[in-house]
Amino acid sequence: MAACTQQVHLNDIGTIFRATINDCVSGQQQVLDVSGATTLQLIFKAPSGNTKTKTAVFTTDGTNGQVEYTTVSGDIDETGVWKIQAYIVLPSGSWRSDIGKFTVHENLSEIIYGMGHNNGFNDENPYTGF
Amino acid sequence: MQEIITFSLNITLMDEQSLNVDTLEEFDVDVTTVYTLDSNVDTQIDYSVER
Repeated sequence: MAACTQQVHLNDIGTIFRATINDCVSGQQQVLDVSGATTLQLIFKAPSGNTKTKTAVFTTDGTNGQVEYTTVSGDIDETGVWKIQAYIVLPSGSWRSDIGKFTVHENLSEIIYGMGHNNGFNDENPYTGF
Repeated sequence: MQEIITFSLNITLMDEQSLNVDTLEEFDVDVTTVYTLDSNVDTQIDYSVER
């Protein structure tokens, strides 16, 4: 099986953004138990500067520090380098994480037909391509 | 097929033990407060705090 890397593409739906939240204790990274969190958010910042705050859920039960968000239509609407940050509220306080980055890649065609999906055609003029 | 993009994000739960000199330096302030003892008397004390 060939090696591969996960890529995010413009308008992808159903992509899971999974973050493992760690606490920095005496310079050492330790998984943070977020099972008691009352607020879990993942904040996405698009290349244009627009931010989208999404409510995250536990991947399992939060004891492993993992939270995630699954993209829906309209979420990934710009190509380029995005930033992501976690915001959690625990009984002891509220914190923001450091900032991660990911790249959203372009598609060959962003022509939208009927049901809102790229149908695979790549005509220069979508309206005369049929 | 489902794409899963994973991140490892660090949060520092601040407490007294985790504060260090470098962190404190980021919060250096220079505060000057003027107290007027009596509005009828032209007396005031300049009080300056640096930390």
